[in-house]
Amino acid sequence: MSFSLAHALTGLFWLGALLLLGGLARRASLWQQGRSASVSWLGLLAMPKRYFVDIHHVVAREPAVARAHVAAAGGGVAILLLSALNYGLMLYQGWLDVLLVLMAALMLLGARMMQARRLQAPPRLSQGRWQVLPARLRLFALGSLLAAGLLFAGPQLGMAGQLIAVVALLMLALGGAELALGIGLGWPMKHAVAGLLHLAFHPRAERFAAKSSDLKPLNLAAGELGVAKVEDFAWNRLLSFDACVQCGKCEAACPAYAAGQPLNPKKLIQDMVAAQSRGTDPAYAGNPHPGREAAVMVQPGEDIVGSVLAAETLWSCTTCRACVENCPMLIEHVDTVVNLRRHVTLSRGEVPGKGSEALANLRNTDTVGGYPLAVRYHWAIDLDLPLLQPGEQTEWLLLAGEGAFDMRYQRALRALVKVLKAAGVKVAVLGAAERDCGDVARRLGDEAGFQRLAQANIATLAQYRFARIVTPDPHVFHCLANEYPALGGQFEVWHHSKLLEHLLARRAIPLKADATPLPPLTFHDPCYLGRYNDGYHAPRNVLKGIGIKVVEMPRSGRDARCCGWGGGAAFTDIPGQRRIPDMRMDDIRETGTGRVAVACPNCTAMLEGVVGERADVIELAELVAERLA
Amino acid sequence: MDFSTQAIPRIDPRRPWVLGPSGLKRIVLGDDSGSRDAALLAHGPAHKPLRSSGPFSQRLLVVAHAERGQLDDAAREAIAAAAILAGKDGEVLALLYGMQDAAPEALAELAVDRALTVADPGYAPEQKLALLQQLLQQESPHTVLFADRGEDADLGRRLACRTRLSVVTDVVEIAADGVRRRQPGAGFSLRERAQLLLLARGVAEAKLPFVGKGERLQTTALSAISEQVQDLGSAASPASELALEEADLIVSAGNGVSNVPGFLALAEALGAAVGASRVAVDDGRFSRDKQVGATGKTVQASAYIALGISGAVQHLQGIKSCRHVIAVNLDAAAPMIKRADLSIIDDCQSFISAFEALVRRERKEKQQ
Amino acid sequence: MKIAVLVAPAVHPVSGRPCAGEADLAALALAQRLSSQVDVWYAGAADDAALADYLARGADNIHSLSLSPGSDVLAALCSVLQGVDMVLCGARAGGGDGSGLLPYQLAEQLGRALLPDVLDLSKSDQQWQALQALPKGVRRTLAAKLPLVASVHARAASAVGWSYARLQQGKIQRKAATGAALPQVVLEPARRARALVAASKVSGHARMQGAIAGGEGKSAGIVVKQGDSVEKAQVVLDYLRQHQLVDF
Ligand SMILES: Cc1cc2nc3c(=O)[nH]c(=O)nc-3n(C[C@H](O)[C@H](O)[C@H](O)COP(=O)(O)OP(=O)(O)OC[C@H]3O[C@@H](n4cnc5c(N)ncnc54)[C@H](O)[C@@H]3O)c2cc1C
Ligand code: SF4
Ligand code: SF4
Repeated sequence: MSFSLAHALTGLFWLGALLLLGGLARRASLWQQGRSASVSWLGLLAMPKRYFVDIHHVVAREPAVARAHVAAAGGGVAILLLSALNYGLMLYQGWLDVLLVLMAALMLLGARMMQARRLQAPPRLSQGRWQVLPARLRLFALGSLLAAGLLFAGPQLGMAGQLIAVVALLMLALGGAELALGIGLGWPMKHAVAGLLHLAFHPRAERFAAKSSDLKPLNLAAGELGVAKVEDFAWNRLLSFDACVQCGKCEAACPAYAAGQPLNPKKLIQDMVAAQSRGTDPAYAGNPHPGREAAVMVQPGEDIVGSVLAAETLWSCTTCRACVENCPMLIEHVDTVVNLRRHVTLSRGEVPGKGSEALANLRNTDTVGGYPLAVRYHWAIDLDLPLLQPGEQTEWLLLAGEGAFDMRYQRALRALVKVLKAAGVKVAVLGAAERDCGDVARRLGDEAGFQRLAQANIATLAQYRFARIVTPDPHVFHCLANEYPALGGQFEVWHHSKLLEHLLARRAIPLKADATPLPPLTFHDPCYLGRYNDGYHAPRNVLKGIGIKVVEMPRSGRDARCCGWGGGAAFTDIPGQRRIPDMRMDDIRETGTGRVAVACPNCTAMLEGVVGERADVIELAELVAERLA
Repeated sequence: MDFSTQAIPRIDPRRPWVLGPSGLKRIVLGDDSGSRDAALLAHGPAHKPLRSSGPFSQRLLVVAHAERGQLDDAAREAIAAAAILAGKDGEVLALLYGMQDAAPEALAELAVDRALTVADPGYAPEQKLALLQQLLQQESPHTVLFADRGEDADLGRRLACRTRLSVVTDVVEIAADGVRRRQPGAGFSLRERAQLLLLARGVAEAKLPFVGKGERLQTTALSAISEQVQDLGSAASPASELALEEADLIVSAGNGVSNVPGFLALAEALGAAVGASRVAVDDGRFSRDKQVGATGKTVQASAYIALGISGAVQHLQGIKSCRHVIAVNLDAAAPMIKRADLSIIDDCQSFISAFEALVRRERKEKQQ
Repeated sequence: MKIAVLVAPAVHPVSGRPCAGEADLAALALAQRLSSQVDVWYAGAADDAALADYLARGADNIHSLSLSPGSDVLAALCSVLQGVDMVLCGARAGGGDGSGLLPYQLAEQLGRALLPDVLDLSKSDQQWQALQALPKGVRRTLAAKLPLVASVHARAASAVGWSYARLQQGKIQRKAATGAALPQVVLEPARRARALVAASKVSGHARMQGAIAGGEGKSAGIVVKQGDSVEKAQVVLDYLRQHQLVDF
């Protein structure tokens, strides 16, 4: 009998392995629908580091879940490896059985922890097959435990032993099916295989080396116009969707979802899975896009937007990257959103709300709001701000950005110039030669518009001589620092928070001597400074430098909630239950400080647009200017 | 406007007034005779001298359509332009549709020397062209002037094309060296003065210090003329259904308007289109297509009445090109008050009901 | 039914760059709704880039009759529009001359009925009915037989959104043409237009009064705080009447 149990295990192992391979082949054929992408096979070697370091960074934010996963996944992988040795290769070593029993116990523990968590599952978690997965894993672990235990106990099995062996085999078969069939049938355990491959062939592999948040340029000359159909995604992008574990961390972080706009990033990723699998996967059992039916119909060959995905879903995204930052599977939602938008904008020309007007303004006037370029620096008329002439030299070139047209934000700009002057910084501006940086165009999917503006700006900037660029607009900062290099524009760009921090640290800014403590306030992180560029410390150091205590909101720094402006969302203005800035103002109110410091013209406008009792919104530069001696 | 000279006029707003010699309204203390109707301009022709008693050696013709027997500002400006250009020996002729009932004094007050007044046949371009051509032959004016809007603009263009007379449209300035019109992208384009001039608003000051002779002109009746295009009738769509972008009069509600049915009743009484601020839209008080502002509609109404709207920049962006803004707000420091031409510091709810009652009453009086 | 749509670049009011004219776009969109045989024509001296917006907003193909600057486009257009059932153009072009004369000239020259400022066109029996936009939201229904010329109101229909792909695929076919020279115009920088004002014999004091009270220069707004709501309502009504903003 023991002979037959061991052989049965060998048979079961190879059967499972075959099924897994077959399933993988089927899934790979789905990924193959996508475009080719240049990937490095060395990624396979980098996989362990990416798994243990990069994923760990994200997962460790929830220690209990991390521990459960380590136990279940670690135990599971160990069981598979040991089984491969002991039964697959038919070594049938007793000491391996012992190890197996230990690993099975570990996995059992992990699965048990997971199951316990599922009892009070947060609403962001998907139900359906995901809900029963821990139980299945327990079966598998228990089956392994029993089988290995029986084998170790000896060749002689009594009636009871035989019965247990049969039960153990059944358990193994049932539990193992999750993995063996999962990849092929799109069951939850698909994530294990797809997730590992995703780590190896990540579409943004550079993120494993350093911060990477730039959108990649389209090759317009080659006819690239974004993603219309599944086939237009790169194959490894399709693979990345299959890595999703439907944990809903993105859903919980998404400001648009919280505002009741029809976007749930988790569902968005699952929509992409449904599109590539043509709906053959088990039905989605998580929260829908708010206000939309959960079920979607998928017609093969159809455009994604309009069939699987409603356009409003796409346009609700503020590109705040909160989802990306929180995704344990390192999925890049924003890339997908923008890729899909590119098709809708470039090919169909269907940008909703005032988005199309903003794009038309950019085409016609090189400003988002349709202003004459000549008035951009009117607010500085009495500030004696030098206009840089081609060939002249300056230390700092100030790019005011679109905020220069906003009467409110002009106050902040004036404050900034005052502070820089007081600190003796040599700064000049371009005047009418400054065009929009192209941020809004690019996030709204108008890649052609972005590239036109970027190239024009790069050509303009090349005519001037300056050491560095400083801008108070994080969007200008991000575009110039991170996205212009791909188009050939290499500039050293600083956000004004960094320059102010630098000047304060060098005591270059003459501050008032009086020691009256300033009332504390809270700080709202701009997405394009914070999550996009890890610029969390500079603004806080500036506030500290002028003696203001920051009372942090629960959602701050990496978890800061977007103000709702980004990605052109203020222009497309997709209706929801609430407005994102109203929610952010609630966050601010909760700190009880009654004042919020901001470091972005758009955050300023969005937060000041909140109606009713609201906190004072003050720009960083204004706060420093107030403290000038 | 008489009360613009002081910031807070201490006047009884319902007090009657009379027109002074310079065309200004005057309130005479203790006097209760007079008029409240701005449209009645029959006062004072006796005060004004005759522009020219002739004899005339040349003439200008002004063609205008009246609405309900009244010429609008654009048409008055066209006549004023003719009167100013005419000179001592020049006569101001007018072809006026829809003013057959006008008294000679009214014509004189308009500074017209001789007018052919005919009932407006409605849409009948061929018939009107025939009459005009007959008039041109009979009187041979050296210049024909039209206001460049509505029916007059249409007829002027038709006449230009039919008779091949030289024409300049959208004239914003008539000067000794020629006529100017705006050139998109440039400033002005200067052209020679043409035989036909279609005049933009503001080309001449309609208030004149003189009167015309106000005589009537006769022509022989025309035989029936067939039209190429048939008129199947017109209909005015209710203002409330009018697209905001097209509306000429808009009442707009903000967060300060809590009585929405009352507000809508006012809009209906006034015949005004309905707008709203984003807050009022977000609250579900109005549908999204009513939103005015940066993320809503951009409107071009002649009059925009903002009720309980604070006037955030994003809202003001939508009303940049409104000619008259009237604000009603409890808060005299609201930004909307700075933008408004007339501001009423009052509670919206009581103002709305008072205004609605007044409008309904006055409308009824007018109809009787 | 063959429809010809006439388009011309407008001048952007802020930047002065060429862009599409709203009314011309509406004409294009209306034509595409009415027929599948739509030809788009341009006559004038503008280069292809100035017509880009029309390609991006739905014109697959533009026939461009190239004339030297300052020539009359009428003859060139008439010669190609002879056999076309329906000619649509924007009621007003947004650039160049922008006089709104072209539809009238075409109708006269081609001997056709003209339907001005149409918001909609529909066929009934043998005739085409046009909904004409008149001021203050009044709508008039006009009817005429083919062939006809219609000038289209800017709000008649909205063209498809601006698309880079359509711009890339769209084609402009140039053909040389000639036209009579237009009278010379002199361009001048912008300033306030001077209104004709009658020389007045009234006293200086009265003129001062007039200048303060009325005139073009916008005085600061009036703020009314006193009185009850009824009185304030009267102030508003008086204001509306004084500026002829209401008709009662
Ligand atoms: C990106 C962005 C885009 C936006 N786009 C738009 C837009 O397109 N359109 C738009 O309107 N807004 C827009 N906003 C919002 C805008 O900033 C303001 O929040 C909004 O216009 C305020 O609306 P409100 O004036 O009705 O409300 P409030 O600001 O609440 O003002 C209400 C006003 O009513 C007065 N009031 C209150 N009660 C009474 C009463 N009983 N009688 C008389 N007066 C009373 C108050 O004094 C106050 O002045 C946008 C904001 C942002 C950030
Ligand atoms: S996309 Fe990432 S964060 Fe969102 S549900 Fe999937 S795995 Fe979780
Ligand atoms: S980028 Fe921000 S708004 Fe967009 S899906 Fe992610 S969390 Fe939501």
